Amino acid sequence: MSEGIERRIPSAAEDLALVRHVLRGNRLELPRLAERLRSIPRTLRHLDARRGDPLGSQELLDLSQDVLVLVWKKLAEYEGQSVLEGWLYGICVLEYRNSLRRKQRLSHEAQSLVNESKARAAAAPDPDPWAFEEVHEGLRRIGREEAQVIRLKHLEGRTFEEIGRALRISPGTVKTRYYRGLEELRPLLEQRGGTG
Amino acid sequence: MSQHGREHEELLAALLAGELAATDPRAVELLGGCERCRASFSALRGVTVQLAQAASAQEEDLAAIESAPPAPGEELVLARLEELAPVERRSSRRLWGLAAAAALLFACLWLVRAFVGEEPRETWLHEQDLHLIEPLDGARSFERFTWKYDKDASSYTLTIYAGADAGGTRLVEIPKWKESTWTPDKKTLTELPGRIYWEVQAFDAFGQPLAARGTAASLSSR
Repeated sequence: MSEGIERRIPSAAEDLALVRHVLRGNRLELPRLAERLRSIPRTLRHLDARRGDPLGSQELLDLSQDVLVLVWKKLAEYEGQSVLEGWLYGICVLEYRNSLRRKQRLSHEAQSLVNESKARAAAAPDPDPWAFEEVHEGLRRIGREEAQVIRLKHLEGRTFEEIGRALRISPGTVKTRYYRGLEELRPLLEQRGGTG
Repeated sequence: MSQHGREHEELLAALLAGELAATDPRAVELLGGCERCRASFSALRGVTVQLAQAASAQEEDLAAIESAPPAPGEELVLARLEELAPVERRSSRRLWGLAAAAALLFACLWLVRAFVGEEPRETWLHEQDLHLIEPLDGARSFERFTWKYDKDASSYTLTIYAGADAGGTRLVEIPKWKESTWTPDKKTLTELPGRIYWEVQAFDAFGQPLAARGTAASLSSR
């Protein structure tokens, strides 16, 4: 029992406690939260690098700031179902894609860069680098309960039994939500390039 | 879609999620005997493939991001967060409201004490099932922290703050604690001030919070 004042590997539950403390006005926890939110610029840079750096450093910096503000506004929605980095990742993917699309609309040069990277993606082995963004967007658009079950199943790797315990619903209800979520998701993913 | 049997949907879900093998007799019977299930399975399988790809991409990305060197803008995060986080301000109306609530609470406690002759032992926040037993105000020591949760909890997180509420410096945090008693080691014990606020959160097996409660505690003057 050598526990005491120390740092540990954070769990989703600890992250939820951290977020709640900050939202309750405990500014002493801000550095600890800031440390975790540093994954925002890092994730955006990683996503941009995968595309061949179409945004560039200054735009990425601006985007990081915008995403940080957005995350702050959404912080109360964090439910502790995954560690903070997993939750932030989904937001970064969508905001990065939106930013890239804005740039596509405004710049022919950016358009050609994206086309180039799309062509590279078509030639690349699975997983398709575009596909995962559509999945995150689709999950945002379907029913909240269905999306929650699908996220826990696929992105967190939980079994139906575990999800049922966590959400305090029967495994049967979990399966029904999962199935209906897939049905809601299918047309959204088909619209954006087919599910095979 | 809703008239499709729930039992079929559950079996399809298990099959699509890979929790039921395609060779399982229930799966064979489902796909062999229900044309609609066959069509549905074939249509939705592509969705689960995309989900698996997304999960795999996310996992790879998060691993790469974790070991990546710092990105430009990381150094600005704390400063920006400090601008965004509100400085705790309470309007005078809210303060009056709090004062009135405190007065009412004090009157209730006084009545309970007068008529029942027993001092309430806990600070009740939101959850009815989590009881903070010791230490409370007037404790002889902080040698033992004890609580009781009436339902099933897989673990607890105990947090101790300096001062009378959770706004003070966080001194100790004990996560994933399985028991409902915690004994500080000697070093921690000597570092604890005479007045603390301690909070317990109960979690289920998946780490979801079930209940939370906190109370102030102080050492009796000796």
